[in-house]
Amino acid sequence: MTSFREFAETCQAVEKISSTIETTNKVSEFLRKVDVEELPLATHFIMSEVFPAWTGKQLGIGTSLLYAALSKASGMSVKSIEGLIRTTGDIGETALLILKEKRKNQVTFTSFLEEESEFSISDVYQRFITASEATGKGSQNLKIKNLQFLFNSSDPREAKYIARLALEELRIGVGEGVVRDAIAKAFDVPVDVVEHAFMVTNDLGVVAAAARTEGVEGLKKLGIEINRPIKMMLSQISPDIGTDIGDMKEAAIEWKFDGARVQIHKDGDSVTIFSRKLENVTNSLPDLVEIVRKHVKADSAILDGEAVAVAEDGKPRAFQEILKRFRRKYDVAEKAVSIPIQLNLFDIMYLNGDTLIYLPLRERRKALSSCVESSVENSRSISVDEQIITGDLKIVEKIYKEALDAGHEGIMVKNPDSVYSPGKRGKNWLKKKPLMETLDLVIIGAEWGFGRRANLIGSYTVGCYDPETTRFLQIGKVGTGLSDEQLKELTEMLSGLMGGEAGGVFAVRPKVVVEIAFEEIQKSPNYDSGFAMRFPRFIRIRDDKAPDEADSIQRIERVYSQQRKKL
Amino acid sequence: MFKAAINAELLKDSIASLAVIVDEVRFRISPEGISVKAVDPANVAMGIFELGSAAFDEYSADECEIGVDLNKITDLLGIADRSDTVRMELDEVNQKLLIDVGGLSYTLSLLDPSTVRAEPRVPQLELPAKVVLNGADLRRAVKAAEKISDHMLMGISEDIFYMEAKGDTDKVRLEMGRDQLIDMKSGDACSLFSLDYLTDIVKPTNKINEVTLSLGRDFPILIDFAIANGAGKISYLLAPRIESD
Repeated sequence: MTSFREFAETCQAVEKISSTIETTNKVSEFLRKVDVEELPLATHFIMSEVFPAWTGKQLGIGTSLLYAALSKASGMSVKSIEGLIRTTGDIGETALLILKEKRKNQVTFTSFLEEESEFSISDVYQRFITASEATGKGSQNLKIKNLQFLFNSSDPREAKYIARLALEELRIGVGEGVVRDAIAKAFDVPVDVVEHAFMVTNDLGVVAAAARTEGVEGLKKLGIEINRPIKMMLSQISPDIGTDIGDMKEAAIEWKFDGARVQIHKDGDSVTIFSRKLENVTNSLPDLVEIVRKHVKADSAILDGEAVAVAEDGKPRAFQEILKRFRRKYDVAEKAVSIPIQLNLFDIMYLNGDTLIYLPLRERRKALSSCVESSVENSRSISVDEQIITGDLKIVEKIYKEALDAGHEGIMVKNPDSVYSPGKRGKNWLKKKPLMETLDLVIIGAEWGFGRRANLIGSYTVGCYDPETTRFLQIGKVGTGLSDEQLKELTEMLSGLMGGEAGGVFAVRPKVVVEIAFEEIQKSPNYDSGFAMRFPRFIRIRDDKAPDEADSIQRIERVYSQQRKKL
Repeated sequence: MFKAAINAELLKDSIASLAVIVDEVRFRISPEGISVKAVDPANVAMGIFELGSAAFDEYSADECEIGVDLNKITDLLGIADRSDTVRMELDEVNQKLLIDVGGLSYTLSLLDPSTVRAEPRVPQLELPAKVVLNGADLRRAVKAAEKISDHMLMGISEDIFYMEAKGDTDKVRLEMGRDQLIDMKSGDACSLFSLDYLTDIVKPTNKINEVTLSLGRDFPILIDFAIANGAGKISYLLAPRIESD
């Protein structure tokens, strides 16, 4: 077992480092030292995860629970703790401060036993799980006591990271990229092999363990597994479709549907559906499950497609409609009837035990068509979406216009000879859609409204993602474009995420991604990204995107320089 | 093998005294009786419970260990009359406890003992001071303290045993001299305890004539008393809060 102290010391060291290389070195040293059984867990911990992201599981320990546990541990009132949070702006620093001060700290029996006992990374995990899963009578107390145990049994410096980890937010700037490189360095394996193993397993914990025990061979053995989602292949906007198609000679053209991306795993009669963020959304989509079970003729398969909600006039309904169903836990059946749904499948990654991602797209399409039986019944349909392989730009233009007329987003232009590259955004999949300047940004601050909107969020600060530091950099404040109903929804979403306040602005934990339209990007000294948006307007909440999928500072820089070119 | 009959109220009180520490426990059953050692999830309060065979109307047992969800038993005994007799028999093969009370027959599923937190190691403590007092006095002091603060100081100063709670603005203090106590061994004692725990722990002492407190300086307190006319014993150990100098 690896002591939690080891982990806390690594976090503490990394927190002080600004260079990515040094961070990677520290993390790699740590991964090398960790006990092999705890390696998967430790790998997730260092990335602020308690569960692998793909499981969609979250600890769900709220700040109020942590405050209560800290209060019991230290003898300081919850009110004073909240006051302290407002000045430090961080639960970790707060925990460190109050436990170090020893005003009236509770001690545990451990202090009265002869030998010192240290607790391990797994012990922390077990306590978190107990605190997270307790239900029913007395569960609140049980949750608090398990957290209190951790705070009272640890050194205040360890408590700092326990508190942050409980909120799944370590703030040490270690993301997937750093951990991938650290695994490569720690176990002396090539980065691209680690990267590929990550893309097919979607779990760096599994990857680290394989690299440690079996090296390159072990990593190569890792493959796609049914019911464990793989990263979706992504597309990039084509600035000039003519040149790109010319490069490919022939391109596979498909509609780009205005719906929600889904990855479907069929395993015998069991069907599991993952969203674009790879969250398990099966329970929200019983009608899709049924239609896949009936019409996908395969023992096991992993399929890629887009689910579209259809309005009465046959056009796609607002994107949000279908996403709402992802979040809905009750009345699913009722909603399923009231919103007809279309499943358009466009790729297959796995079929009856065989991994297909290394086959060219043309071959995958054949396999896909061979196992999917198109069907329209009642309010739902399933089909392999139409694909035309052509080098003729006129035909491409025609398909593009048809897609837009049907109310969809545009077209996908794919290289018919390309493999399926999980998690990659490259030239093999391009998209063409009408230009609308929007950015996907993360809400990182909020201010209350006034007057009629006094109980709602009035405006909020948005940030772009910096993949190097995994931090979010402010790029503007948005207060317009929201209906009252949307404001209410947003207020509810943010209320559990608000932290310390400074000058009326509350810090918001970066969880919610929103799409923001703007007219222009300008340089600005007011925000720490160095940029600001002119006339920002709220478009929609992007429930389908994870915060680290928001637009990056590099993308903002590109948009800025492209703008300059146009002038 | 385990088969026993016991008065419902005695069983109810015994279970309640354990339930203040944990929800799930391992019962260690032997021909001599039943014993339990449990620690609360925060590792701050321990309960050590012994109920000898003499406390039962009928008792026969071999060595065995069972895992029990105390809430379930509390619920089921809630329906029983105080004077009822509870008959229990262990079905070892299916891991069920058959309970007959007031004409009702329950089949209670047991927990796999390995899933219940293991018996804690009990620290060996040298506690210099000892006070024996009436349980109702202890309960009264704790109740008064609760109104003012969330922790309470207990100690001995010049042959006076005191319990004191200080809030932000208010203070309450109860002093007891040798004449008000059943017994006392004076010593260096002054420790602060969380009322969260004390409140629960002293609840069952209300009906107890003699409760023994063993104390030290910034040390755990040992609270113990006899039950079932001396056929059983409950001890609580509570870790203190410590202020820095």
